Amino acid sequence: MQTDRIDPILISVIANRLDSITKEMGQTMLRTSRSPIFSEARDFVTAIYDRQLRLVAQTAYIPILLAATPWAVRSIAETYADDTHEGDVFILNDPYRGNNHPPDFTIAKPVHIDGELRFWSVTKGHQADTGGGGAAGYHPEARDVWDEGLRIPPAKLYEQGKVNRGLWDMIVSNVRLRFLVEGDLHCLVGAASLGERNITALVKKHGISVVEQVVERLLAASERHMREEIRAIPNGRYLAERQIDNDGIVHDRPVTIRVKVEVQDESVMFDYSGSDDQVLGYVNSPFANTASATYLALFTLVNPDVPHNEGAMRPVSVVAPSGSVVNPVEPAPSTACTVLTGETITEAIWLALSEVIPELVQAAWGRWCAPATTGMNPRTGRPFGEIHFLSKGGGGATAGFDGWDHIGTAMCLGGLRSPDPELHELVNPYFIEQFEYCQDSAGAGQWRGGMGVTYRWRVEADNIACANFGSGTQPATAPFGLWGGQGAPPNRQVFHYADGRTEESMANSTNILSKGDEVELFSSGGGGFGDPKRRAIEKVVQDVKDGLVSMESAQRDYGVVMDSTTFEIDARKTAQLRKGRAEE
Amino acid sequence: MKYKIGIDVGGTFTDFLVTDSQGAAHVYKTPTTPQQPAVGVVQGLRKIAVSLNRELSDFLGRVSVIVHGTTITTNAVLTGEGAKTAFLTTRGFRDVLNMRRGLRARQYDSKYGPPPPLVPRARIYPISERVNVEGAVVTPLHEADVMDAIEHIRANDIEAVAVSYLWSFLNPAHERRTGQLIRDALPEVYVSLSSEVLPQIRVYERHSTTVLNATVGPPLSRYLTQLESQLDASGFTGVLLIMQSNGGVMLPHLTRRFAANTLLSGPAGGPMAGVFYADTHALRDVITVDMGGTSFDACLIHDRQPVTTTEGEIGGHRLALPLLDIHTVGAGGGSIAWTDAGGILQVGPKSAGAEPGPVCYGRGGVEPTVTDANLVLGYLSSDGLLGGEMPLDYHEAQRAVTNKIAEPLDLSPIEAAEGIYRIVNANMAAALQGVSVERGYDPREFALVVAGGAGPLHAGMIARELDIPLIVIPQESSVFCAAGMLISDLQHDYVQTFTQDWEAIVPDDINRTLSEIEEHARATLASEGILAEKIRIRATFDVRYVGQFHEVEVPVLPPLVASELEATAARFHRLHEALYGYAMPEAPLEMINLRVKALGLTEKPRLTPSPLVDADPAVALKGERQAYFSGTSYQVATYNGDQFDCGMALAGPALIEQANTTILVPPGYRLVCDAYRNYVMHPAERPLDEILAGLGRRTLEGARGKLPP
Repeated sequence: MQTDRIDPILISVIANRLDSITKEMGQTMLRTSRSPIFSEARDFVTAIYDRQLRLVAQTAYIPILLAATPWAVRSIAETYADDTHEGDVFILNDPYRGNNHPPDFTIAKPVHIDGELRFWSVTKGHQADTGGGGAAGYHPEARDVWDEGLRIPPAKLYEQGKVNRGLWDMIVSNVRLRFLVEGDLHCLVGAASLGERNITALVKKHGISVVEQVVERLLAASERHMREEIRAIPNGRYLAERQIDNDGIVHDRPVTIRVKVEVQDESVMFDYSGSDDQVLGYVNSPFANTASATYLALFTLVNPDVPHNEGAMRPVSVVAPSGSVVNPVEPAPSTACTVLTGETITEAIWLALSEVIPELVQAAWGRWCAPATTGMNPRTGRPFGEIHFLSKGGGGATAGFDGWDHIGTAMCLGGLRSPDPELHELVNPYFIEQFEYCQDSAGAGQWRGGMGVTYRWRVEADNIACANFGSGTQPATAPFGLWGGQGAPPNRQVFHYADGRTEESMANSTNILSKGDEVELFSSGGGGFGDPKRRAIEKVVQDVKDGLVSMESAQRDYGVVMDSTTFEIDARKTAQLRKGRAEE
Repeated sequence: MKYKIGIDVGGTFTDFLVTDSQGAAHVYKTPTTPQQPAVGVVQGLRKIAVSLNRELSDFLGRVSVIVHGTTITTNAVLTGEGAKTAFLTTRGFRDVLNMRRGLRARQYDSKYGPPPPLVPRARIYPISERVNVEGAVVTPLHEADVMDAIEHIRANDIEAVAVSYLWSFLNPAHERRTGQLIRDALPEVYVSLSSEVLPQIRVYERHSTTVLNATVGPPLSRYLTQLESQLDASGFTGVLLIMQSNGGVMLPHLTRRFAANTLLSGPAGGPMAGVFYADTHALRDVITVDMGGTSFDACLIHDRQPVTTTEGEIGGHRLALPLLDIHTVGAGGGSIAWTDAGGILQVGPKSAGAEPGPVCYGRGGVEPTVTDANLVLGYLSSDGLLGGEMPLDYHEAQRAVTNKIAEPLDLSPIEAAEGIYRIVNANMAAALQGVSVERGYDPREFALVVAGGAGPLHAGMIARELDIPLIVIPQESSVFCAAGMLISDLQHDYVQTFTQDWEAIVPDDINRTLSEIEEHARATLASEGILAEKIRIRATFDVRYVGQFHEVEVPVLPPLVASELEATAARFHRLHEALYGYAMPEAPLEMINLRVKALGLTEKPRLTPSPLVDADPAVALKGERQAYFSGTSYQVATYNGDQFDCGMALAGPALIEQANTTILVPPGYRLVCDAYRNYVMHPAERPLDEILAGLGRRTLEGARGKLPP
């Protein structure tokens, strides 16, 4: 490597371009994807790695994919160290070969310039189906990685530009929604090729030596930036624990995640050593996912301008003992980790740091709890697979701001787009009865949690496999409030069967739905932040007028008494109820 | 003598472009009167009449057409000062509008809130009714719910009502009945029905568009009434046309009903102007760019048609009507340069705006901006803008660039200023890449048409970055949008969702729907005074592979027969390949929407070219000053643009100064003043003729500036 002084202006120009290349790859994926989970939920990531396998730039549309690629790319590059050629495209989904969880297929395309391997163009996204026993990739009864579906080790999907037809066929023959998975494979490969083209053009323009020096400088700058941010957090050890309701196999035992956050000047360690051993069911979190959930929490606490690259991750270490639920060994099942375990890890970090940096943390977000369903739609004559994103809950409040309504699990931080109800009815054999905010679903606070929803639908076909995955159905796992803010009520899912039975379902169970059945979901809003009796009275009145907060809650939680028809404030009673409020 | 006038009401100035029947064009400006924009418009017209030595009524009596662009609706949404609006929607789905699909753009930033709701929940009335996926009524309309809502609307002084029910584009009966009940009970209230505004699948997008239409309907109606009566009173007897976001124009009575069509009409004149100036050189493929103080707008025009989109957004709310696809990035003269915490130089998107403005304006700005860098580099003169009315402070600019950028980065002040210049150019080039390469177009096959006060200083470098071979800089780029308005046709866009598997399409079903829409379109254009032979109808289908969530708009030639259906499918595969890099010819297709664009062709102004003189530009020479390019200092000649004549040419480096802009001819470029007094700039090593030929010039005659019919 040359050590010539490099033009600092070129660093900006090239760094911006690397970043925009990953965004362009993402735009292409959004427009060309087939399955709803790609194109509507945007469950994918695009990235550029250098030849030292360092993450140079990425766009993680879903933040739980922040660190979902480094181990996968390393695994591919090491497996094919002497056998990587121009035009090759690699694929991987095995969580025990570096992947985060099986439904997220990793695609990596080596970028050769003048015959030499210089970069990797990487895409990764959640497939509509991966075979196995569950619905749309989620299998609450899975006992090992084979139950969960297809296992793809690092392999060449294309060899020097030529498709490996046997492997391609092998993959699409082992999934239920072949037409979707095949389209999404094209989409992943297409976006990786676009990345390759653009990286090549960038290198041709500036020369490889300049680009490599810029990458070096860029990573160093990001590291500096992150170190400065960490320095703002007081040194110390901060502990917390949170739980997942159950693992799907043993329903009466919660799964515990314990975190110790140790801040030492400019670096931070997240140590999960006290967490439960790996469990029988599908909530085990491979290391890549544990790291992702950790970075997710950290990136919400620092300046949003810190780039999400290898440099920024240098001051951060993650300790997760092998054989534990946060770093399982083969063959533990793991599909639910990106949501259930990830949420719990992120919450634990926010909670641990809530005493020391209260102004930066957030109260807990509504956790995911809804079915994935799959079957045949008689109206269209086509199979379908659907994760019920219309049930998205509310975001947690933070000092100065209410949580966002119906924004979904914290694993997406608002990047998960709600499906369109009409397109949903067009594709699936469902008739939506209700989809709107659920009164009093948010945690009260000076800053209120975001609203959760009531989502009810009637089933219009038989034989639909339903996998109910989620957590937050217990008081202990429902969203917590902070600094006097209240928690939100737990998630609930209720099945009204056509034969008259009604059943409140446990999280992480399966059932079969038939024509005439009705599914009713109540999703938690977010936790509140700060004493609700400090909330501005006019905001409470507006919430009551809008029907988001009940008159009873206004009085009980917020200490605001008003006339039930004119909404006029009873100043005396209100003052009395608010007397005991917490001081600023 | 007859006149046509384009009037563009901007934030600061109202621009007028007047063309006469002899092919001359004149430019006027008056200050905008934000409280009552119609006043400024009439003041400007009076000023024009005076300069033509005519009475206002005599002058207006000779004006056949006024095309008017207004930002009344845009401002109403951005300032939250639209009409007090109520929204009626299907019971059980009360919050789809305000959920905004549950997205938060800045995912890692917890310290901000969503945009204020267009309609607070308390004014969203759930109505019992439901139509299903097949268009059948599952729950009949419960009229008592509508009557209750009407009582609330009456009691709360609500000015506008939007109605949007589920699946109403398949079966609009409930919406129509609701609309009728409201109109009967509350004739003064503005009513906006989704089945009229946007009969198209996707609930939130339809709701939001329908509600936006209601919110801006009353203020726009009031404004148009005021304008029409003032024009009437002043003696105007011609046709008033209103600019739309799709690049077309409409008569006021239709604009009132479809007010949302004007929401993003502000910049829509720009691309149309691009077509106008491109025509003078018989160019059909151009990219227009407009660089002002805070933002940079770019729009691609292929075969004289600006690219359109239905993915618009205003104030954080979705507007799903077709509009010109103008890509905006935060890069302008006021964009602030800063170093991030990692020590990397960045420019924008934050802008010093007009107040306090760049440091060199001396109005309290302290952060170095692009304009400050341009001054330090010698591209701008410290004599300043507006012909010396506003001097620029070179020393303060240099001090800010030095202290804030050069020293922290260990650069010389010139290196730092040049860094700012290069980075903002790279950001703008990336935006151009976004509108071209990313959509399957090669920018090397396009010319750049440049507008905006700051554009001509940067155009050469942006073009060089992307190998764009030709730059057209209109003499009066400050009335760019007004010029575009004058060549806009009347345009109405219709959409009807028609979801169907491709194999199951019965051509006659589609033909029936198409001819219904066409009949309606022809009647509408006839009501605007358009003769049958001036009407053009174009149809497109929105098609996708089964299971996809985005459609590709594919041209189709009705009437639909089996062979045309096949040809349309083939076109879809080709477009998909071009746009996204792959096609799956074996995969099943589905149709989602059919669209009709109805044009009423207007008579275009014809400009008369001036003879080209073979004169030395030295007559326009003003002086010279030191300027820097790639770290090298040059003595650069400066010219007075007002004295530049048609046919004059020069080689860079050079600077041409005009009242509102400065044109930078970088080293290695050549500039010519064409027969319309516009500037054409190109890399000196390639002859202009060769470039024009390469850009697909059709005929030599075209190059002499004849406007196509």
